[in-house]
Amino acid sequence: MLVPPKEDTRIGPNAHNIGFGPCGQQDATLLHLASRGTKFSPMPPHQQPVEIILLRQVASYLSIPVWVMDSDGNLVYYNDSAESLLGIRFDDVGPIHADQLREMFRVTDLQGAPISESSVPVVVALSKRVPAHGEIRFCGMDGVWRDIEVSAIPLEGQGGRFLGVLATFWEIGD
Amino acid sequence: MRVRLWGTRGSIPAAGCETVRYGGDTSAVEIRCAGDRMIILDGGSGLRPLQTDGSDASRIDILLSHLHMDHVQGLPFFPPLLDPEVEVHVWGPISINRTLRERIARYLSPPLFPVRVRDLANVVFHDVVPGEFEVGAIQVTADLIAHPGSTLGYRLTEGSSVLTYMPDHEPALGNKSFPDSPEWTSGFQLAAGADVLIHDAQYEDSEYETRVGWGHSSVSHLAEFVRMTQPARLVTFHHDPSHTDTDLDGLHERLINRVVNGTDVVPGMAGLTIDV
Repeated sequence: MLVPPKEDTRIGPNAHNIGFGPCGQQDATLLHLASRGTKFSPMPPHQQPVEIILLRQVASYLSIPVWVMDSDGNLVYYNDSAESLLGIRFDDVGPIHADQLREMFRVTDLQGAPISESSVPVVVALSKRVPAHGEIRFCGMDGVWRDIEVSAIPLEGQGGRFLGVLATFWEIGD
Repeated sequence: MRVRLWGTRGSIPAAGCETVRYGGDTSAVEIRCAGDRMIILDGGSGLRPLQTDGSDASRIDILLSHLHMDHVQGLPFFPPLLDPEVEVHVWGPISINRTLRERIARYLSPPLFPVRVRDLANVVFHDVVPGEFEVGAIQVTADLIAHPGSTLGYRLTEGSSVLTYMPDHEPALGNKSFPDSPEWTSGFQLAAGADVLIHDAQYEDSEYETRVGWGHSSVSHLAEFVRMTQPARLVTFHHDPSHTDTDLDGLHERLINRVVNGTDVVPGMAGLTIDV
């Protein structure tokens, strides 16, 4: 006689995320920020989720600027195309701690007036986990102000795991 | 933990006189834990001959790395799945649209197979989100690894003993700086410092060149992954179906010559038993 199957179970989505190993380019970030007199908060070492690993690979092949943040808001990668807008090569700065981002990249509205951090598209995608789009004026590490459009989408893995944010951006008028 | 390999072949069973020593059955690994509890890694054709004698016959847990056919084709031939006296828990990667039961039912239903999932006797399916869970006294860490489709690697810990299982894995994928960047290497955390690492060893370097993105390891990439993760023992797995015993002897010789960090390289042959 057949026994009816028990109710299926599902692990998570509040299952523990796992911890990780060393972070490769920390020294470059440390040296760069130290040269600016910035107090550096070390990023916790970890291995990136495979979705972020593969996303970085795809982004490195694209001609559109791509910016990838992890779930804590750390900037873990941007591609060659983004470098010209951000004003610094990724290999020169490495991953950037969330706390350092606002110091490194200044943002206003298109008239130059201050805007709240919470209205910046990447912050919206990170905090509210919804896609966001906006126009902002942005000062890169080269000291040049640029008017850009930003589209940011939250990265959610299977099982409801929040992985971070992907953003693309371009200069208005391009 | 006592580990026994029942199926070590990748992609499709490869029976014949040229595959006798390494075996022709696809992925299935038996683990006996404290209290004679049985955990099985994957349900390939090696599941059919797997013997459950001497185990706690009331419950068996099957951890599926993914649902490619070579990892599930043995399920309907595993007698406990048809035995109402045995509670079988099947664990596998979560999907967006369909439950694990529904996805396995696509195989276990006509016209692909005459037996349906609902005909299985006493089965509980678990959709696994990457993270940690317990199976008896075993702490299981599951994480997605680089292989087409959702594929989990498993790290099983019992006391101080650690077994990592990554049967299908392409660690160099997505990492231009491989092997110099553990942060950007799939599977690093699962494998780091394991007592035993059972890992994909499907391709010779020359074969890999035309199969990038297929989700498997070359000899060189496996050697570098081992150097990076430093397991005490490496057990090779998921042998290419075209590789004869003689081919695999040569592959292992090349692998052993490349692994220079002290890790013991153990050729993964069907019937091999290892104490972890």
